[in-house]
Amino acid sequence: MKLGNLFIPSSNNTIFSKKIVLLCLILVVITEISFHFIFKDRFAKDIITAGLVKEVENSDNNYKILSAGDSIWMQVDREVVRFKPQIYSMLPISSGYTTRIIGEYFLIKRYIDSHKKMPEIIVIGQNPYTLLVDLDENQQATNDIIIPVFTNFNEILEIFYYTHNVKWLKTGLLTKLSNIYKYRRYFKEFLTLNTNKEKPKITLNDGSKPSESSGNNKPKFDPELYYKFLTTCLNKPSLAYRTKVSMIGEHTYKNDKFNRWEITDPQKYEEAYQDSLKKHSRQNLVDKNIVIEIMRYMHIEGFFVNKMANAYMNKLLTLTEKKNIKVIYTPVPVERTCYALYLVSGDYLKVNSYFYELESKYNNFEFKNDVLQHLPSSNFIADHVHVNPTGWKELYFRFDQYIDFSKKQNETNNDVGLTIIWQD
Amino acid sequence: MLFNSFPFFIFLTVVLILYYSLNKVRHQNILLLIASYFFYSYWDWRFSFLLLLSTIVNFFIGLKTNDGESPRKKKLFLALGIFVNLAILGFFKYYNFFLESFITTFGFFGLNMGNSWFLNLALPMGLSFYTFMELTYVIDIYRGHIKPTKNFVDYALFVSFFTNIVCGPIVRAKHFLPQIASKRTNTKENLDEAFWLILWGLFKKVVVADSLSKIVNEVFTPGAQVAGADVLIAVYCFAFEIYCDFSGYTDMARGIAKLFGFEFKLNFNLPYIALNPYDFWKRWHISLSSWFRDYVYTPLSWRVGIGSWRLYLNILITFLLCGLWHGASWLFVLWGAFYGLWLIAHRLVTDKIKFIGTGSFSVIIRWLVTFNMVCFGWLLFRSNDIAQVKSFMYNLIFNFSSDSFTFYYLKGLLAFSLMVIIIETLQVIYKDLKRIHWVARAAIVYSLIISLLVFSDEVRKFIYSQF
Repeated sequence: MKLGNLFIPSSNNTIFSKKIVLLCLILVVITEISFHFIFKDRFAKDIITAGLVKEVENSDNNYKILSAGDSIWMQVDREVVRFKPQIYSMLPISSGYTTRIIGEYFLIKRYIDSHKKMPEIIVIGQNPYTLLVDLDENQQATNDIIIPVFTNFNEILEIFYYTHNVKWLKTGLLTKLSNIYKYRRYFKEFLTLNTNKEKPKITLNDGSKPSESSGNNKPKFDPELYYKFLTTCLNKPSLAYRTKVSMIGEHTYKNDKFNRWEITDPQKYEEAYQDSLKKHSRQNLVDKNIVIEIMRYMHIEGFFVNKMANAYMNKLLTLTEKKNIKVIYTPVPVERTCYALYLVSGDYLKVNSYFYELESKYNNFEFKNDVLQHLPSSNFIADHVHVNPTGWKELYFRFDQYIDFSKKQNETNNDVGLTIIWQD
Repeated sequence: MLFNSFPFFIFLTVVLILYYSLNKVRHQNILLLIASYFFYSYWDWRFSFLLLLSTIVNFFIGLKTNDGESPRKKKLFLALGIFVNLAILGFFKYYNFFLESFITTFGFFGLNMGNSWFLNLALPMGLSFYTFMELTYVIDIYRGHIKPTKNFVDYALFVSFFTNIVCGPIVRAKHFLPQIASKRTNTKENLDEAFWLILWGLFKKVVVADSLSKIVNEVFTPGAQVAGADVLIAVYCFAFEIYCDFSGYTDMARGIAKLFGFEFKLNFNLPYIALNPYDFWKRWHISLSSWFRDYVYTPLSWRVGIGSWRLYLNILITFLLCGLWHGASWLFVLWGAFYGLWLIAHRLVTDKIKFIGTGSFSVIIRWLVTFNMVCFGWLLFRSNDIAQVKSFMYNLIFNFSSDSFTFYYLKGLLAFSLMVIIIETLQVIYKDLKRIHWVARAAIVYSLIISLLVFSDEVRKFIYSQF
């Protein structure tokens, strides 16, 4: 049939006639299958948590420590495993995005469900303020990670049960039932990149693939690529639509004629980021507005624990208590000025009282608020949340010192701490 | 509960099942009334009492206006009806706005009134729409165009029907009340059209309007320093965003009403192919423009001769009010004034200098001028303040340049607007899509479904729901 014939008037007088509906259904099914084959690997590679789910479920190793947390905590725990893999039997399941306590609960539960031998300690490193916004529908992490990754029917229903929000039921079910919906982000990117071939394509190595060289299932973590990922993607909601190439991408591309990102010096990207902010004043403004909004939100409302976060924190502690697993919660470091606000506003007391209450309720829970605490602002990147290479080293150093200190303590008084678990 | 949200899908499914399980019109109307109040209360239950109060008052004013023994009494009830409706609208929508304007004016003369007069008021959803519908009802009874209904349920359903209470269309009692009172029958063709309207409306809103809004919001960020080319593209984007947002809503409203056997008149008729401002307002938000024509402009212009300066003044007044109806802001008033002046200028030109040809070249020029003038109007409409209008105009005229974002904005504009243009052109050429070959129809339906799945990220409000 010639293409032009398609527009010849037809005698059939309905839009949704049987044959049209049938043809549409067939086409939709074909598209669904195609999406599965085209994007499934990309999804597994791109979403750290998706990779972690597989790793958590399929890992042969019986780890003694599970370390879960947000993106800042990820900067710490992966470093520890990277530099001292021979010492710790630790599986870092923190992800680049903040999966919140709900994501961490699902990951831990899957590990527990798929292993006979339980870990002895679970360490959770988080900014306590994340407890304010668990399963926040405005968070990209919720739509891109939590829902697409945790789509077992019981998990979907569980989220719906706790939130009473049909939005999650819809999103969960659509993600479960439709590959087009699940991989829509990639399809949009595919459309964008096809018309934008001259721009550099950023391929993120998120560390979800097992390392070939290490010979075990521990994820290979490339801090430089992760740093690139942070400086590229953080805190630019308005850029999300435009393209995967960020301001830094454009900047670097234009000035250095890169066809592909090759990271050699992370500091360069920090400079590029700052330079881009200066150049694009409106972006600077947007970022500032967001920061002001967040600060206002935090300090007017003060610290509180979201209903969902509280529910999942309790679920996690109940589950681990039954399995006799110790859970240690430690806040990640913040900028000194924020820490001062944290103290002055009285949120410090509220955070402590919440966790001390949990400590008294669950025998297996310990709140460690004296390990990492705060760093000077020069140790953070422009978002004032994630640490830069200097801060990174500082954190690792502190963590290592703490562990050494705990180890010595452990040797003398047999105190229960992070250090009691060593590689067999 | 928005039309593009999952809770609404569940709500609609439940209401449809219950509706078609009932046989009597009376029962169906009671069900729709309960559903409408549930729908309205889902947003904020407190304002459903305001809706109910307004409905009761207007119902009795309607009856009294009709039963008035003398013309004087009738006029009295009409005045009461107009006063009540405008008082509700004025209090909730314009109180703080006029107070702020007064305080600013007094402040100019050195008088400080303080801020204690301001009230923390929320604008009830759909207030502008349902008060206008009630005004129509009372005025039409006074004019003798309709008889008041004696059935309160019918009247309450006319005011609160969930398909059009949020963003219209402003349905006339003359058109809608008889449909409510009579038995509705639904044909297969009707349902077919209803599903198409819902699908097409959803596509326009979720895929086109919501995607373009990201570009628009970025460029119109308060205080942003934006290149002239970005402003131009963002204004075009907004033209398509607001059209797809509002006409998408109207299409869905018409489609959903059709599912229940109701018929609403067309509210948008390809407004961007208009060749002059009159033509534009005959095609854009027809239910509102015809409301202002019938209930503001025409009464003001009785016994005014053609060509009289009062006629021009009436055009200006009508559009100033139309601008103010859209929101409590001087920018909306400015937008209305812009249209008023443009219409006057157009009338003067066409009345006195009859040089406009009808050839293709002339048509293209007229279309280009009209479309760009409308887009200038959208710049006024969308801007955050006068300073932004001035800054954008300066960049457009004296400092026109592009930046690294221009290409992305342009790509977004072309990608999303072309989809709408192509399908609407097909509908125009072939009168409606039913006449196109079934394979092409299937391809269109398939594309819309896939696009909806891909682009349904978040539920965004309709622009007109804030009015």
